Amino acid sequence: MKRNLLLFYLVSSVMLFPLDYASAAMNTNHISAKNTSSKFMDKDFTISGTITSEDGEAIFGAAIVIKGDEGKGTFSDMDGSYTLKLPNAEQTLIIRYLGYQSLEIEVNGRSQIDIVLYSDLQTLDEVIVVGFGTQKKRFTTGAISKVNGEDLQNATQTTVEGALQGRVAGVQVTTSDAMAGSPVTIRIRGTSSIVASSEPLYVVDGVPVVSGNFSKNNASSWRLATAHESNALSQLNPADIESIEILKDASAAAIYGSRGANGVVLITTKGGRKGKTRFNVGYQSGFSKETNRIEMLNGSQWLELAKEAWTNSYNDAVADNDPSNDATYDISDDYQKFWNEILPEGLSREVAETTNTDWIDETLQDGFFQEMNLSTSGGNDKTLFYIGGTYRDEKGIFVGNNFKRYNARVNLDHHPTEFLSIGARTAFTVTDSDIIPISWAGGLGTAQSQALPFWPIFNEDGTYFNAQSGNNVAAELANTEMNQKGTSILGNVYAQLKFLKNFTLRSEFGINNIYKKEFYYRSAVIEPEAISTSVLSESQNWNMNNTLSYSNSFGRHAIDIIGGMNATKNDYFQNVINGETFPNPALKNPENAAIQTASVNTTQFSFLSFLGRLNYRFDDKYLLGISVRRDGSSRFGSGNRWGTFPAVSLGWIISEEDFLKDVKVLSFLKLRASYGETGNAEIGNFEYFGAFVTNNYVDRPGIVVQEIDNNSLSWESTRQYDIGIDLGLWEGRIEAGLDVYLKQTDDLLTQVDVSSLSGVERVTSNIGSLENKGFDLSITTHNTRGKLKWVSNINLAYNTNQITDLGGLDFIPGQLFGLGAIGLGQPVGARYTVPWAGIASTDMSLIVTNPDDPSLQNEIQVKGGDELFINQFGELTNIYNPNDQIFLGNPTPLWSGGFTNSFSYKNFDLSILITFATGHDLSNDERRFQYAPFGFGWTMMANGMERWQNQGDLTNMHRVTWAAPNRNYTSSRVITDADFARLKDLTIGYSFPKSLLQKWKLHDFRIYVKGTNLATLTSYDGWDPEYNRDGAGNVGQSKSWLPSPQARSISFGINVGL
Amino acid sequence: MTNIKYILSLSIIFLLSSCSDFLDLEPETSLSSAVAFDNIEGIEAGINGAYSIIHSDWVERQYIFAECLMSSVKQVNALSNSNYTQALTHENWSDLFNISGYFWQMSYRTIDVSNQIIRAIPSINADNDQTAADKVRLEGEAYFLRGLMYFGLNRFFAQPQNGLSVPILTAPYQPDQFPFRASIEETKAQVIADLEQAESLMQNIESNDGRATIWSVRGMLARAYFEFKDYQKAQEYANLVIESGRFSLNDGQVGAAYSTEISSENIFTFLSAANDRAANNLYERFSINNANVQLSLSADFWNQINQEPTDLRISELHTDLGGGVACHKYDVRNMNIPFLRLPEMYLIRAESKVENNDLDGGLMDLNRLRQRAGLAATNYVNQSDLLEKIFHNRTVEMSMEGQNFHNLKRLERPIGGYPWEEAKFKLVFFIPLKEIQLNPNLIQNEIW
Repeated sequence: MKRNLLLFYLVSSVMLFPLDYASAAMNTNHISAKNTSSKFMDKDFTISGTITSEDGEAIFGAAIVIKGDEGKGTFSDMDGSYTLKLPNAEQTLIIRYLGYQSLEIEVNGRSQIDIVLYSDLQTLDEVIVVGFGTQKKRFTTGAISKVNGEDLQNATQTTVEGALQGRVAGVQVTTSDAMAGSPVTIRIRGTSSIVASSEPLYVVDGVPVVSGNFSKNNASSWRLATAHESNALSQLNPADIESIEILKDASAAAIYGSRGANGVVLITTKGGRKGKTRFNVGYQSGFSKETNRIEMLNGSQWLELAKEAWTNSYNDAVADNDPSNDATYDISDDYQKFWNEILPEGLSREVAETTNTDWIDETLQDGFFQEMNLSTSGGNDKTLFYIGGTYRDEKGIFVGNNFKRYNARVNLDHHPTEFLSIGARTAFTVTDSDIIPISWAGGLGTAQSQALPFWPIFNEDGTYFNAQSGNNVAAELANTEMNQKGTSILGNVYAQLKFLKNFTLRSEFGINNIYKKEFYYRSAVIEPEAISTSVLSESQNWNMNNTLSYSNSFGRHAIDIIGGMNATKNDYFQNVINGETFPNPALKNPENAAIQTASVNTTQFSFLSFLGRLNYRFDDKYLLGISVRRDGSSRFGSGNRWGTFPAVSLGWIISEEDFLKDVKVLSFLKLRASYGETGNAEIGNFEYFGAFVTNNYVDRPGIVVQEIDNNSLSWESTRQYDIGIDLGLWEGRIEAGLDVYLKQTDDLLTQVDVSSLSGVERVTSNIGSLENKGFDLSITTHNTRGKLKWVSNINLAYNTNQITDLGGLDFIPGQLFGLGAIGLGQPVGARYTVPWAGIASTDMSLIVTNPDDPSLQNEIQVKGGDELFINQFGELTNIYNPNDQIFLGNPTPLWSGGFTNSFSYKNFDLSILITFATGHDLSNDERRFQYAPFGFGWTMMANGMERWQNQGDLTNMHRVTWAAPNRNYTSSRVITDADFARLKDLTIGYSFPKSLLQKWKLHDFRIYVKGTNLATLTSYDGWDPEYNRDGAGNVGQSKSWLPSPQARSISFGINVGL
Repeated sequence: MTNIKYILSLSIIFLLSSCSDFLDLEPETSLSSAVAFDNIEGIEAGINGAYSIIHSDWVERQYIFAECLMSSVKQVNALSNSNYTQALTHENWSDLFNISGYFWQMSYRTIDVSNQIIRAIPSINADNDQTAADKVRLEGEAYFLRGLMYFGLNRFFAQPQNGLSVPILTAPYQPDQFPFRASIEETKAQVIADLEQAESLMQNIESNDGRATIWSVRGMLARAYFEFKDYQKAQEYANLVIESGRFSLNDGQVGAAYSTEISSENIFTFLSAANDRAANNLYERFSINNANVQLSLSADFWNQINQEPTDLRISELHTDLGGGVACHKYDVRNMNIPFLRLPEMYLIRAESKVENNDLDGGLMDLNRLRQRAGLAATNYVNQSDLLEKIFHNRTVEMSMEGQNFHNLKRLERPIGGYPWEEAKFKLVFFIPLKEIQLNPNLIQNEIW
């Protein structure tokens, strides 16, 4: 049997490795567990005692051995007591227990020694997951951060990535808003692209998974849009996670080649542990509310300002001697003309004057969520298992937003023989979410824009007021249905064969399939005819890894080699059916519609890769890592399809050198340096492919050009240099890691405008370079130990981002909603706009240079209350000239990080996480319209009441007007500082003491109270300084458009293990 | 143990399949540009594709912005905002991307398709008579579309101050090409050349499955010559269309042209499908059947056209609602859009005859139109009086069809409150900023 299998494997490996990589080996840590059954010696000296932890709990199973004769010893029993016979009374004992510092004790003739063990603070012997293998943290040469699963347990966030916030240096996490299942943006060491994705690659148990938006894009009407993207990663269940490793530098990520440029997030799910079968039950439930509420004008304030605006415009017309205009703004007859202008049909002046609708109130509610999870794990020598299931039910803080998720997971590992292991990691997830329109699509977006506070919600007859206008937020929410149901399967099976002592062959095959059914409906109350859309999407993704690894040591040399291949293919299919006009309001499915249209989208991509890595270690002090990956992708034309991504890294464990060996304070010191190249191919599929798509003229089949041939398109390539230092002091009482990096990305995938004369507007090209540089610092200190334990961790990152080349240009204009201009020397996403200089406090005249002929000077008249700008000549002016635009603002934080303090005392524990980000701005683009003249029909924030009224008023709010001057432009006025520090997480827990647990026959029992986003320190005056614009890409992500808040929550939870 | 064998066999199967063509994926729902136009079906699809581009926003935008620029419309609700605000107030409007840029884009996309088709046609293998005939017809259609596009571009972008119109491409664009703006005269010549080429190629095309026929081409030639003030040629082409007998006036039924059918007076019609943006855009702007109606007639324009209450074009196609005047031409959802109607041919022939000193002939055509609108025959005092009457009838007839603005330009009359000398410089589009930035040879229109 064994021989057959071996043969089979060897044959397959020959098929697997047509290239020279066949001799590579996988990096496995052989932990040779010696069979240390206790041996009692027939001598006359006997020692006994108890072994307890620093908390006073008895330790079961600690090994007590005799120094110099370690084959002899015993284990402590259930009560922590031990008895050991010694050859004589002058021996030295070594006490070892996993997770605790080993201790040496000289017996000195004592027959009774009670021993207290302190937990091992050093994490250096921890095994961390790297791509295609594991390594001891001590010997890693790349910048890799690890987050333990327990830090993610009981998170109030729905998604795994959201729970990472503030926990890892150099990993900036932003959730777009409080909508359940919202997209989360993660930037590892800055934004490294302009149009391609800057999101990291997510790999779950070896399978690269689908991430990002997974929603419809083809509704019949924009009115069925949500302005909200979905998040494919919301399929993952935080409770199943054992650990998350984040590969930050190129030497760690280069093994993922063309997919590694934005960093890699490796997620490992829980496996079983040998021993008694354990059961865990967890329940958590809580309430949530928005973190902050902005105040808009109320009804009477809006009317007061509008009337004042009207009057101001009348006075302007009179002053300008403009009879037709002063007729327009007629103020006679008690402003009858004004009222005619502003009152929609069916609204009387009396009702308007007494109505005060808070539209925001119609869109927000108190949220509630509960989560229940059950898991069981265990195993024996041959089989280990973990089975988990979670149910989460969330009512969001937005009216109409609900989210339900059901997870099930089975992880199995089986070792039929010593040389073979096989296993599976499988998870099924079902989600059911009701989403709502937001931002430009309605809901809270409308409530802060076009829903005016003097409009009532209902007419007197109880029907919705102005229901068809699209601006009655309450009518909209009550008559809109948006539901997404998802099913996902994430599974991976593997077989691993050890042979010839040092070789390991491993094959993995995984799938990640996501199915999504969406339904969108707007009733005839708010539409001329009811409309609905039904969408079915499916993403089929498979992945295969085959690796051969070799691991050996020869004296002081240790070597790990791995070689292998990886293939991934993704097929995407989407079916959209739109319907309009239904026979009966009870029928909503497009099937029942009088008018139906359908569309189908399909797309695919594939990657084929070959990889190899060598880790060499000399004397456990000098470390070398070399890796290379060769990648091919269907996303590029055949001439540019393949790329090679090498990396090299060095490490020197200085603390092992003789000259430092005796420095007791210094328990560990390692220097690291690495260089590597990675790629980014996260653009759409087939962008190189000059293509015509169907565009019919009524029912006559037609084609139009979609893309022009673009065969030169290729990868973005990132070269990253990293120098790091890892430090441990006082046996790990203080552990610190510092990495300084320079990340240069070339051949940026950029959308460049091309002349419309070509038939298309934009092409994707490899143009230009950008640079991220900065450092990541993480310090963990064990401030006190013993009964009161206090551990602090601070992680801090500094990053600057700069575009260093734009293919010879210094500016690329952008027309993607006006979000898009990028400039040389600027960070990606800086705002290109005219600098704003405040509000003129009095009438004045200014001398400005004539922009058409700079030798001339013009005198311009400024009225009190006018907006002032700085023109290209540095002069103050009240004329808005697009040619005066410059780049302003920084969209991504310079500094970001988190500060965690964990305390435990007796059975209580407390942890506090503060996150912060500074040095960045948000461009609040919606204010452009909120500041527009009143005739524009928007409402504004309540600080509009601070408008300029009289000569000499000092204020930042302009004089209100009805139509002119047209303030339909963006100036730096809308850019605000978005620095913040926030109490992200506060948890207080109580674990019942062992004595009670034994009585109750439980393994553990903990209750806790948890608060999220409890307090925020910021000068930002909008909803919430944590903001990320959905779907706006790297360039637009900090340019807000009618944003929504984050959630603050308080929850109670209970975990029981038996 | 058998499981392992399955797993291993599976991986081997996958590996065997992962040879080099594993990465050779092609989109399932699009067509490589290399083969798009290498057969006659592809050419036909390309022409249909061009129609799909222009039958929608291209029509809507040039209609609405022409009306906005001449101030014949106003916003129904001052509190509703739209791009039209800028066009209506003539403030900050002409650099607005979605006014000039979008129109420019769609026009040049169509020109590009036409040029690709004109280049591809000679190499299409005509193995039978039908294909040979189709080749000629489709080439004619490509010329027609190109002429139609240059005509539209010239209307909005030509700037009399610098005498420049738009860049002319008669072959597919090359990336290293930086064309200059052609002069207005060159652009007009190109329009005529393209349309006349289309005329010669489409001689026998009397019906064409919802697309241009020989009569569409001749109607456009009449419109173009008329606008270019070649009244001899204008009269000649209008006459050809009228006398063809293919079309007849909808006497007494002035609204018949604005429906989901194709009425007998439609010479060239853009078709709409269910849920098509084409007609629905206009519906959403103008129709009071739509709760969010955005535009109504301005008071000035209403006063100008509302002279004879019994005029069916007033009484049936417009309603004074007190707060505003509704136009009913776009009340039918998913309607077909009549782009060229027979009454315009009568108007062109009438005015051309008068310009060519056939006053009685002109009056006859005018009275024929008045008869259609339920009005009694009229008479004239002198040439200018007759021209004024024709002008009035044209203004009423073409209300909200995007043509009156260009007629005012042709006649060099005041527009939108500006005297002609000012209007002719002010009421033109900016060349889209993007094009200026990408092509140093393009000179921007000076508007202020």
